[in-house]
Parts: sequence; structure tokens; C-alpha cells
Amino acid sequence: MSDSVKKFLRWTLGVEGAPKFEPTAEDVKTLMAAGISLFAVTLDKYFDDDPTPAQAAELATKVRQTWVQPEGLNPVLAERVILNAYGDEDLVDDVPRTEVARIEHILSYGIRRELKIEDGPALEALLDEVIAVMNGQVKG
Amino acid sequence: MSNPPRDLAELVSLFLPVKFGEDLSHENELDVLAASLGAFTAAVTTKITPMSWSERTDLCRRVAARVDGEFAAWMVEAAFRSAEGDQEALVGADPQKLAGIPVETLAVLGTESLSRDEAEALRAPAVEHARALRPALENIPR
Repeated sequence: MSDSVKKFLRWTLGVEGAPKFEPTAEDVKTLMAAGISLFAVTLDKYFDDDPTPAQAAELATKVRQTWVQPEGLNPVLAERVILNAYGDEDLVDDVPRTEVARIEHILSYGIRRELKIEDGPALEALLDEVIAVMNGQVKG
Repeated sequence: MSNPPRDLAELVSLFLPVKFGEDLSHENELDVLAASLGAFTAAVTTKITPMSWSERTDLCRRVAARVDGEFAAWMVEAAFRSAEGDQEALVGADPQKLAGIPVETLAVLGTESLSRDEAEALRAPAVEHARALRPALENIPR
């Protein structure tokens, strides 16, 4: 399990040479959990405390301006997806889950670039943290 | 014989306050659009910009709830920011879905915090906005 999860995570995080990840049907639930855990771990590294809306907006701006095609990431939606991860209710409950996931992946990628987590040991350590969070969730 | 098409100022008055049930089918559709956007801009900058983040977020939810499923709450916020001058706010948003936001926002404000007198007082700035917006609407693909 963790092997295909790591392949997915490496591809999401833009690791040099990582092949495009093709999920199988059984993977979907696991990968949803992986994406959520990745987002949680990267946010935890980025923000010391729960971000204010202004701080969420600032992160969204940085990601849009520096790391991704701005057309692919609406700034209002990105901001809300960030705040939603901290339990702010009803900010994105009318947005399809797949769209929220897509944005979480993009933001995770942007945060790892912002934090300069390079390919290699640092990135692999990040993946292990994500897997640990996922296993923690499984244990409940 | 139907009445001649109404000008921008007359059309703006149909949005401030919102007059439902008006037959606008004989009007110039770009003028109607400009009038609704002008009214929306005036209402946003006057009533919505001063709101706190949570008041504003709640308002977005109420506006979206009026037409359940037509547009998401975040799109309402994006439309507010666009009216405030943020040119990135609507990036990637489906323009067809955004179309109802101005009228629904004005309707909600009308039931909550925008009295008839206040709405009428917004007509003059709304017409200014409508006139400023009108030329650019010629270029929208339809």
C-alpha cells in the first residue's frame, strides 16, 4: 500500500523523474486519504498557528505567483481550501470533492517548493511523515 | 406597440431596489448587464466592503442558498472581489455560473440591510459604474 501511496505523493509533489501516477479503482479511497494527509502535513510545516484568512490568502498568492500556472488556481477557492483544512466549516462544502482535492494537491506542491524541501532525503522524510499520519488515522 | 428600450439610468433603477418580474426581453441585453453590474458594484463597495470576514462569508452562503446549486458560495465572494477591483478573483470561474450573482446579492441585501431609501441613493453611483463598464461588454463572447 505505502509503495503506491509514495508513488502518488512523489508525482503530486513534482519529484524530478517521478512517473505520472495512474490510480487503480481500489486505490481511490487510499489516495484521497493520502492527499488529505499530505495537505495536513505540509500546512503544519508552513503555518505555526491556525492561519487567518489574510495569511491563507498570502499563501495562495505565493503559490499562484511562483509555482503554478495562475489560471489553474482560483485565489478565492485556494484560500477557502486552506481555511477548510483547519476546520472552518461550510467554506467549500458546495464544491465537488475532486475539485477540492485537486486544489489541495496543488497547494501541497507549492508549499513544498516554498519550504524548499528538495528531492532526496528531505522529501522522502516528508513522505514517511504523511504515511505515519495516514496510519494514525487508520488506528483512529 | 412596446415602449422604447430603457436607458442605463432607467435600467439601474430596476436593480436598486430589485424589481422582480420586469419583462426585460425588449431591452438591449448589454445595457441590462451593465446596469446590473453597476448596481452590484455600488452595493458591494458601499455595503459589503465594510463587512467583517465572517459577516461577508455568511452573506455569500445566503446568496448561494437562494438559488441552490446554481453557483457556489466561493463564487459569490469572487464576484464581490471582482467588483472591488481584484482582477484575479474570477480566474477559472465559469462565467455562465456567475451570471445570477449580482441580482441574487441585491435581492438578499434588500431583505436584510439595504433599505429602499439606501438602494435609491445608490442609483447615481451605480449609473456611473454602469457607464464605465458598458464599453467593455461589447467584447464578451456570447
